[in-house]
Amino acid sequence: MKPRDQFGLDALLGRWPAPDPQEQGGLAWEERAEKIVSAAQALKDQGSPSVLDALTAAPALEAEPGEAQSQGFEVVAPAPVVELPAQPGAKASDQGKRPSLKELAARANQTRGSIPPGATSTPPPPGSATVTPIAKARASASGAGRTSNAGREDSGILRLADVQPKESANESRASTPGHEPADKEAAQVVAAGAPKPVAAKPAAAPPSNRTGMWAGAAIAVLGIAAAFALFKTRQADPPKSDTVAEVKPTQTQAPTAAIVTAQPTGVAQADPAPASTDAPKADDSKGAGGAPSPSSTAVASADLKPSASAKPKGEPVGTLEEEMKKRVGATDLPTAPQDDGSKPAAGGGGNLPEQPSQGNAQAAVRAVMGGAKACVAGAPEPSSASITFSSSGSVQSVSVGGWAAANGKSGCVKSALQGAHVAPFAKPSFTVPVTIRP
Amino acid sequence: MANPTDRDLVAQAKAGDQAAFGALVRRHQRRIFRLAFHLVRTGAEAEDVTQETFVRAYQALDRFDGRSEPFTWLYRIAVNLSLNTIRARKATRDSTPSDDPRIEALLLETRPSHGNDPAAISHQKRLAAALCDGIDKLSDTLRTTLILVCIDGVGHDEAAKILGCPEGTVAWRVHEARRKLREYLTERGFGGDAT
Repeated sequence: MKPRDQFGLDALLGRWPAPDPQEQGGLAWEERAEKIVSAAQALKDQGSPSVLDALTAAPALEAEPGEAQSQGFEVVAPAPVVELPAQPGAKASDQGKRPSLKELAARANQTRGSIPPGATSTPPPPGSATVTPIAKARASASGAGRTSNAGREDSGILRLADVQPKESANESRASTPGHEPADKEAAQVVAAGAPKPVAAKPAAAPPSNRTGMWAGAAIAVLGIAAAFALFKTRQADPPKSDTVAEVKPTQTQAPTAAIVTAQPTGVAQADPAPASTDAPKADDSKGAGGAPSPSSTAVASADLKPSASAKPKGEPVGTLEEEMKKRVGATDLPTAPQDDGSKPAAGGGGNLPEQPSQGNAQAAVRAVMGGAKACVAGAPEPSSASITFSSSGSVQSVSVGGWAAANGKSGCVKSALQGAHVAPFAKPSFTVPVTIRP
Repeated sequence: MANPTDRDLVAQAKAGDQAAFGALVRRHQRRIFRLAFHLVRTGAEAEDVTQETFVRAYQALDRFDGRSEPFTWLYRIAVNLSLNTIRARKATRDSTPSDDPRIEALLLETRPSHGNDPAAISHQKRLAAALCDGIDKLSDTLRTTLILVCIDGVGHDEAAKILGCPEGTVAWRVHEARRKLREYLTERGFGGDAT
């Protein structure tokens, strides 16, 4: 520091004395010392252990802001890099120096056997080739320093391109301030930086690659054979239960007897009110092409219906099971539950829903509501009506109540609502209550 | 033993030799007092801290394991007691009073170089007051480190042991304390060579 910059500060501080207590009317130093000794003798056994612990511990001083950043400039003894055997020819003067990549690579080669094979495939994070924590902190502060060091110490000896990381994830990990590599990790880094493993790797790789290739080929052949067999089987069978044949082998762990009980359960679940449109939607892709309604919910409902209606005319369970066994070729294969399989099994012509879906009915009513509203325009209160659809989907009857009936508008309303139409359904009739608000 | 080391004296004191402990007190009481004086800023409190430092050290003699120098150990006790004294004060001073004993001590030290020049003495007095003020404005951490290293002359390595932190931290704190002190003095017109 320049003297001009110090204001003579260091000199001032360094020769700043304390006043002599004796000059201030106090005791002389000798007397003071005797007094202290006698006081110490008198109070020898009065020291509380906790107080003494606190007094002999390091003072509790808060860290200054910015003090943490200063740690990177600390001059401390270099930490041991890796617990590896020392180089026989290492000079004593090199003990304090940071080992170069060349040295690290040589050490790694010596202890290669102790490093797990997978470790060598881990690319080192940038800057982590300098293994000591302090060097690492420097490297994270500025990566340029390490690059210059590497060039100075290792150029021409080690292919840094092989050592450099290729994964940005490791890059961010290395730059994380709190991340300090353990010795084992450092050993992995060293091993990854060694030139020998890089060269040895391709020699070891081919056998495993060939084995994998043969295994893949065998699996492919088996797959083709299975597909061919399946194809031939399907050609021989009538197309009645294609979907079942495809699905069942993938189902697992269902007892054969479950087929008998599963079908009624499936039917019972397929019957719910039109409001339950969520589950059937998933089956849209399975067919039900016979459903004329454009509404997806109607189609979904139509999917469910066949399972109920097809049950009487469907194949007996025993026949299906036998067919399954025949196709799969094993008697102990698990049989799938019939909930899903029964729906597409009955797919095809005549798929009518039990009743119109809620969406279909609402759409039908909405289409004619305009005319009905026109009939009760200006009415002080809403009117009610009930539309009964026949199974063909057309309106069977309309009953009108409320203000419209009381004011002679029922005919108008009836004629308006008569035009409603829903998709055909299985039930004999289906009634929809309607409220007509003016 | 003609000139026993501190360790020898501690070992003898542990064995019950009061004279050895007395020698230890005589050897270090002035430095301990100086340190305490700059930390607690009054002579009376510094005397108390000095006495209590040795009393506590005597009580804790059995705990001294010899890993550090006895001097370092005594200094640590003195710093802790001084900090306790400072923290026990209810109110802090906004500025250094003109009768601060540190000012007089500094003036006594620097007066010979200025002779009897009243302007120089006045300037030196204002500088001493500003210096005291600037030191007092530092945090406990910076002030303690500055006093240990710059005023008391303890080396960075010893200061690190006393304060229980790395040497680099001590160096940074000293640098930071100096920087802040210089800035403080510059703002008050002491930008040139103060002496």
